[in-house]
Amino acid sequence: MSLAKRQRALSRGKEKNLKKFGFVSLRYRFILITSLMLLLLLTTLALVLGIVQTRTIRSRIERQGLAIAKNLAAISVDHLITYNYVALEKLVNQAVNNPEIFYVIIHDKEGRVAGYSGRPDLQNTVLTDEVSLKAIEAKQPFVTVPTAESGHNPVMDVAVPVYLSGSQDQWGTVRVSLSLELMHQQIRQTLWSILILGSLALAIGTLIANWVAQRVTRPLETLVNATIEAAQGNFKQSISIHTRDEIEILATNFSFMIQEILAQKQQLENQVKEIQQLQQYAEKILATMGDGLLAVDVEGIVTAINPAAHTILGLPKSKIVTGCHVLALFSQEIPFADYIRQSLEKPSTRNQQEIHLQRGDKTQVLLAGTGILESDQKKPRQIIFNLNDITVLKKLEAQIRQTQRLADLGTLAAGMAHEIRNPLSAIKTYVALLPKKIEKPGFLEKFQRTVPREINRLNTLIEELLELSRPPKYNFKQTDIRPLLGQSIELLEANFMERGIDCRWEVPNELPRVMADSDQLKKVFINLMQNGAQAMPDGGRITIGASWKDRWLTLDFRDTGLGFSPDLAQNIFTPFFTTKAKGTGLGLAITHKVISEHGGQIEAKSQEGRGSCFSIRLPGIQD
Amino acid sequence: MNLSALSSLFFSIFFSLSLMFLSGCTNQDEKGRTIPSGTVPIQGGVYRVPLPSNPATLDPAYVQDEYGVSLVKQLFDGLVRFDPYLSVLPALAETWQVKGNGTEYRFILRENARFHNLAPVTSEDVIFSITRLLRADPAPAVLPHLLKIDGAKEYMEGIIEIVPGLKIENNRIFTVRLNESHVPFLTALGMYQAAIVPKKEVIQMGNDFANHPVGTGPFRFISWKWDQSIRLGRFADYYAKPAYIDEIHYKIYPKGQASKEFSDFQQGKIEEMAAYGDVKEKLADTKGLQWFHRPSLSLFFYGMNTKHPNLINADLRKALSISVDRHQFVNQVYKGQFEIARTILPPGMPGYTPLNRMEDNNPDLAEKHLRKAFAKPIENLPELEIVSAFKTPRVEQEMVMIKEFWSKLGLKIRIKYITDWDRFEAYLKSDKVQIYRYAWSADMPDPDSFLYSLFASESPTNFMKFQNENVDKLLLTARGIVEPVERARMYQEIEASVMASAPLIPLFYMSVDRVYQPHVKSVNVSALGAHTMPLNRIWLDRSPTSK
Repeated sequence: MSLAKRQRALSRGKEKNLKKFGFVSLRYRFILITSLMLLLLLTTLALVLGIVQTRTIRSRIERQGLAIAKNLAAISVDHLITYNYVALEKLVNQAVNNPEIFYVIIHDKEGRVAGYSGRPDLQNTVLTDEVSLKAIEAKQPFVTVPTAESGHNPVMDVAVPVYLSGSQDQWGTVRVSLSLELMHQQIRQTLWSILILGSLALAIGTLIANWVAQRVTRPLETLVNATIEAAQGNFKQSISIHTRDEIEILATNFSFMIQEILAQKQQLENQVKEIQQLQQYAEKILATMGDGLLAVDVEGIVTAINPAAHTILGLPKSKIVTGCHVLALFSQEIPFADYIRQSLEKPSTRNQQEIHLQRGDKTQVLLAGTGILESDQKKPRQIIFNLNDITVLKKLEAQIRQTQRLADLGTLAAGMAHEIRNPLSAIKTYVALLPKKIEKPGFLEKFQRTVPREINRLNTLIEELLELSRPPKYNFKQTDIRPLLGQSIELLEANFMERGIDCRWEVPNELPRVMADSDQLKKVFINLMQNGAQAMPDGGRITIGASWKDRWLTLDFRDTGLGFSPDLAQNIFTPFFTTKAKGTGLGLAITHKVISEHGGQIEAKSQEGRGSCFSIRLPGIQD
Repeated sequence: MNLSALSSLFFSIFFSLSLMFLSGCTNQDEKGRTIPSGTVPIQGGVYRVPLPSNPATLDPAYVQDEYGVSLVKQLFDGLVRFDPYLSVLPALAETWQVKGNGTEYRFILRENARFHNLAPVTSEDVIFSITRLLRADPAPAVLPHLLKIDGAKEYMEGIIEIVPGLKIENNRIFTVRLNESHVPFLTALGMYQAAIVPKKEVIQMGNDFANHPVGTGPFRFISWKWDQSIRLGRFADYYAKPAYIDEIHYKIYPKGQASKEFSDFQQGKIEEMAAYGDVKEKLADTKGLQWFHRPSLSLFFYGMNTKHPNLINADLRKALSISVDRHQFVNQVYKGQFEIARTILPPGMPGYTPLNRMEDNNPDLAEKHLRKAFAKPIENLPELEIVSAFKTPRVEQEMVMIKEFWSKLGLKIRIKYITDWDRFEAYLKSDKVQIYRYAWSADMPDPDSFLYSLFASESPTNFMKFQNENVDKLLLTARGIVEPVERARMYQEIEASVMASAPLIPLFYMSVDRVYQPHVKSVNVSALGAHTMPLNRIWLDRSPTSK
């Protein structure tokens, strides 16, 4: 799927989701918010009006109640004095005709009911409820807090004690209970008015909000449509909005943006094409390359494999291995499986290995290496196995090695023949002359001097050969190289002086210790220094240097002798190869063997006429 | 979200808020007083009332008993009437003028006032009605007030044949002139005895008028079956608003039929009945009944013949009164239905004052009075007699309790039952009576109707033979006092004077206790009692929704 298509699909999906789950257009939001604000305003207005009206009406009712009660008190005083309950009953029943009055009670001096509107049965009784007791005891007019008993309207009780004018004798109490129903009715009416007017205002407000919203959102809708078009890939459209406000700026900017997007899209498409070509090229390379590539993720799941890998690993071409676990695929190929397991456990780019796989009666040799594809957090994401079938190469190498071995054997044989032949010739000559010249004076002395010498020579040759060839018997210890070098120089010091050789000491005071057989190493050092001395018949300088890096100790034996050619350098450690007139040609071969058996390396560098340098590298011991 | 969803969200919020505003108000409506359904009166129906006895007469001038009063109230109207609060309102007299410092009343009759025979009510009928009361025998309770009319006394005594204080101006206007100012006069004209009767019919019918009365009230007489029923029908030409009900049937339950009355009520055959004793308990399961209770201007007491040798000593009478435990009396005998009485005037009656309360249940004080009365040894104390007009289990229980109270004083008590009312009253008038059970209800909301009737030397109902010149004088003086407070104070003084010699033992103030069927509407009983209630405002609602 192309990028543009994907973008369009994404845009359409988003739009659909919005519409499905929570898309509220700006217009409706505007209408909703306006209406809610109106509603809030109306609610607040209703509440405030309700509270204010309640207070006002309650206060008015309270005043009214007090006025009625005081009037009744004034009228009823004579009847109270005369205990004229009938007249008082009439008074209360007449008073209660006022719809705002819930009931009227007149208590006599003794607190008995003298008149109770609508309740003649309670006349001449004593009311014991809390309000009545408070009212009867009241010495001043008082008003009870309005209460709303269940099933009854809230009422306000006003009680006024009845006194004779100019006297402190209380002759009774007039109680007026005012229904707050009328108050509630008025508040209800107000609320209804607010509701009706509010509904009207809300309806009109909503219409106006709709009209305003339409005006505001129409250019936005045009812009939105433009964005939808753009999202669907149509960048070649012109947006014409002239609202002279932020929306026009937005539209202009958007127009500019889609031009930019169009340009970038073109560029992007070109880049995509290039990438595709590169990808195809890479795919072709992968398909055609001789080396096999097998990519697995850190879990061991095969993510990619190229045809060469198929072939190298003996997988049928039809077999789809992507998605399979790599160990399951190669469970039969134990060495390869081990290698893969090891690589998965410890991913490393240095893990290069030759793997021998048995293919029937033939052995296939793979050179396997690993590459690591890392994530952004530098964690291994994929391991790329690079597989190279080096079976043929190995065969060629074996052939070359065979040839080399034959050549080496020839050289060895020739060297040996030469070395053995010379003493043997001398011995043969003397043995042949023995019968003839035994009597000849001086011959026997010469014979006794020459023959044993040649025999010794043969013996030395044989011992050196044995030393070179016999299995090593080393006594490895932690050894400090510095004193060893010193001892070797001390042994040769007199010889160097004789030959006019200057020996230079460039060894640091502290060197890492090595695991070594000190006798063997001393022999190596002496051999190398003697070789250097022999290369300087006219005197010269031998420099002994030492250095260490990455736990490797390097010892350099440098001379200013005749040197040798690079060709000679290749064979210099070969047995019986020598440039000297004297010597067996086994010294450097033994040296090489000793160093190798110490886990080290030795190499020779030389420039003809300027001198040679033998460098020994030995593994140091970590403290 | 589309427009409709948005709109519905918005309007749901709006209406939730609206409901929140108005919910409180709606609740208030539910809590408020509800106007009962069916407040528009329904015309028609028969109202059935129990009568414990046949009335002695239906002629208002001679009616003495409650039963007669209850009928006369429907059949006859006076010049004035009482509202439920016993205030005086115009009735046949459309209006009046009071002149001469309360000594002259000029009445103007209603033009549309008609008798049941459709004859117009004239001034002559009124003068006739008042005049005949002056010579009525037995003397009506209203008589003392009427005697205030100029020349009334002379007319009563037969000295003159025309009452000069009554003057006719024309058919609708007449004047009543009094000897002196008499405040209760107008109120007295509202008493049932002062009802206006048609002169022509009364003269023509003679004694039969008592059985076939013709009045001006909202109901006219239809029939009277002795011991069975009396029927009254609506008077369509009533001068005021005609009655709602078509007929009133008075069902008569002669002696011993109290249980029948109860079962008839239970079965809905009568609309109302008295609710004393255990009626309420018996009807507890019947739903919708309307129970009516209110104190009335009445007193239940034991009167004592102050002239009887056994009771002539005031200290003895005081000892008798003080030794009664009224609370126990009312609670045990009358199940606490009534308010105990320690004064003569009931609360609510002008002149009542708690200051006049007499001692109650004080055996020590009673003992002191007794010793003061009798220096003699206790065994020589006289045997006292109580006479009762009723012999019911309750009365017997009452007698047992009274005997118990007084036996503590060492007094012997004899009970006498005279269940015939006429014989009983005759006995009360005789000198033989000692102690009698009696109840007194005010005819009008005036202390005069209590104190004068019971204690004035000349009062025919002064069965205690109480005689006190000062009291007589004060009673007469009080009648002329206009200022209510001053007048009340005077009656307080009279009551105190009477109480000082203890001619009676007040026991309890009676109340009006009645039960009505659920369909009876607009019952409004005054403190004078249910029998004084005109039934023309009553209506019946037998609709199923009626409660």
